[in-house]
Order: sequence, then structure tokens, then C-alpha cells
Amino acid sequence: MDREKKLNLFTFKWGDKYGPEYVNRLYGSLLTYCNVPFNFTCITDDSTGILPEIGLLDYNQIGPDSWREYPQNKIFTREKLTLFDLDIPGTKGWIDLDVLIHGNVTEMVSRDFEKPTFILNHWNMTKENSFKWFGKGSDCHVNSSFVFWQDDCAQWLFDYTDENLEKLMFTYKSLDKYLYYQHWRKDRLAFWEEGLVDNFNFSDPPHIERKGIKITLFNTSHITIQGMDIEAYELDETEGMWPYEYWMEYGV
Amino acid sequence: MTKVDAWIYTQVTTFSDATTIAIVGPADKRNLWNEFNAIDRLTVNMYDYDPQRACDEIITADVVFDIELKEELIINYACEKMWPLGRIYKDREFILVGDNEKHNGDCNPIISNKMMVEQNHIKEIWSFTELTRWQGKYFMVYGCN
Repeated sequence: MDREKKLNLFTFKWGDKYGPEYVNRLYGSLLTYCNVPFNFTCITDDSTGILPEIGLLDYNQIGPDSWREYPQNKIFTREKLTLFDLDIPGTKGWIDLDVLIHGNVTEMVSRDFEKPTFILNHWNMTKENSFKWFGKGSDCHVNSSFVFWQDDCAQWLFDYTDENLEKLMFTYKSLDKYLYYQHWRKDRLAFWEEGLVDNFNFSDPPHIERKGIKITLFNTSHITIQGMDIEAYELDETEGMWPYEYWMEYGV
Repeated sequence: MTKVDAWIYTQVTTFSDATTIAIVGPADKRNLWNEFNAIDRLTVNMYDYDPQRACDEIITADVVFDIELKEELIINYACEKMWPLGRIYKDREFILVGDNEKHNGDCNPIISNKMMVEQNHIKEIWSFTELTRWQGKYFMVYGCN
């Protein structure tokens, strides 16, 4: 890691859902659309096939031991929050592998972040009854696929999670739901403004490239889990559609 | 009044000495709150974290993470949706209600009264029952820890 660079970007790859091409192409997209120098590090349990210019951290060593004692279906992807505890100055961000960057993000990542900045699911917020199930605990309008913060402005979120770990692990299955119910509700988070981030599978209409959008999400896991009847695609399943052309241009 | 509310009402008016009551997770139900408010000795507060439920009668707060309940009797309508309150609050009376329907959003589906007793460290059980729901059961316990 080059400590002279003031922008440090991370991604996570564990298990076998995504191959190394997802890591390499995410890096390639940043080389294309992020015009400030950055370090890019993959936190992984298998570095096979990842380009040598990408930094590596051991997934099995990241974060406190106490967090690793819980099964993965408790605050799924909680590992991301451990990045808030890294003692690295400057701007930091994590980007999920199932994200396609297809517009210039230099302005977005160069902002002064006073709060950790997440994605708000604008594509769902305006739908009728979008908050209907809030009280049932099944609502969620926060997404943690492209998150940026500066210096230690998000340290409180790591600390809060660590201090309330047992209760939080008991209560929330996913990181996004935890963030939504505990921190969105209390206005502790910031969000990218509408028009920058889209969802390939959930926006209405789905599967189209929208003008001005710089980042598109391709998450499908909750569609499978909840048995939703939606025509949904991961990035590598979009051959013949617009995302695939971008993705394949970004490398191996 | 629903069967659940009627059972709760009977326990409180017949057996409880509490003068302050917290009703947790009432959603749009007001029967119990209205009935208890008609009893002079009782002060009743309702708590719900859902901002859509916000109104003069409801304190909008998450009783697990946001605030500390002070009431002597805690009536929890939604044990299946939260960390057991008996592990936070000690020396209180509890009326615990939970169901086994395993809805999306239920972090703690209740499968028996014994489960609620153990989770909430209930030391004395004063009464308990089960009631049929649409696709499952309500489990209901009254006791203290």
C-alpha cells in the first residue's frame, strides 16, 4: 500500500460466488473512471487469478476475533464495517464486486465526507407502500455496495457495532438492514444523491442504461433467498446486454 | 377486543400490582391502551420504532437500542422481532407475546412458552397460554424476572 496516496479503495471476495475476473474488472473500471491516484486492495480468502498490482489482505484475519465467531448469516457482510477501524488517513471506500462503474466517479470520491456515505435505494423509495413493512422488520432502503468515508468519520459505526455486537447479531441478518433500522432511522448516515446509482434488476423499468448514472448494482442474492419472481442478472450473466460490453472492456 | 388483548387485560387487572405499564410494538392496536387508561391507578406508555406509527400516544423509539424503559410491567407484543427484553430489564413484570409464523423480518421466531421464559430469564411464571393464529400460534407468558 502506497501511503502517499490519499484514496484507499477496498473490495471483498470470499467463497466461490465471484471469480477473480470480478476483482480485476472492478479495478479496471476504476482505472478508467477514477482520475485520482488510489490504492486498490482486495480482502480475500483466495487470491488466485487476481492481478499483481492489486493489494491483498487475508479475509480470515480481518477484524476482531469476536466478530468472526458468528455465522455469516448474522449481519451478512459485516466484515465491511471493520474497514472503519483501519488507521489509514484520507478518503477510503469499499466497492462490492457486483457493482459496475460506467461513469466518471472522480467527483464522487473526491468529496469531503463528514459521514460515511452509502447508497439509498431511490429506485424503491417512491414506490407505493415502500415503507409499509418497516414495522415488521422486513423493509430496507439502504445499500452498502459503494461506500466512502474520510479519516475517522465512521469510527463511531465500528465502535457502536462492536459495543452492541451480541444484540445486533441476534437481530439483523444483513448489514444493509442493520444500517437501515439502526442508523438511517437516526440520520447518522449520508447518501449519494439520486441520479448517480441505479439498480439493474430492481429499477422500473429494469435492465436499461440511464443517462447520468455512474454506478449500477447487480445484486441478486436476496431475490434468490426471498424467492422473488424477478428476471434478475449478475454481471457475468448480461452477455448481449449493455453492461457486458463495459465489463469486458475492463480487463481479464 | 382480540383474544390476545383480552388475555393480557385479564392478567393485568386480576393479578398485577404494577402502576406503570410499557406496551411495546402495539402497531395500530389501541384496545389495551384505551382500557388501561380508563383505570385510575395505571400510567401507560406505548413504544414503537416505526416512524409511520408516530402519534401523540406513541413514543417512537427502539426499546432495545434507543432508550431505557422505566415501567414496572412490560408488555411485549412482538417477541419474535427483537432481542429478549428480559435480558436488558431486570426485576420487572413481563407479559410476553410471540408467534411462530417466521415472517420475513422475524429474528426470533417463538416456538414455545418455554423459549420465551428462558430467553427472558423469567424466574416466576404466573400464567401462560397459547392461541391459534392464521398459520401458527401465539405464545403468551406472564411472570417476572
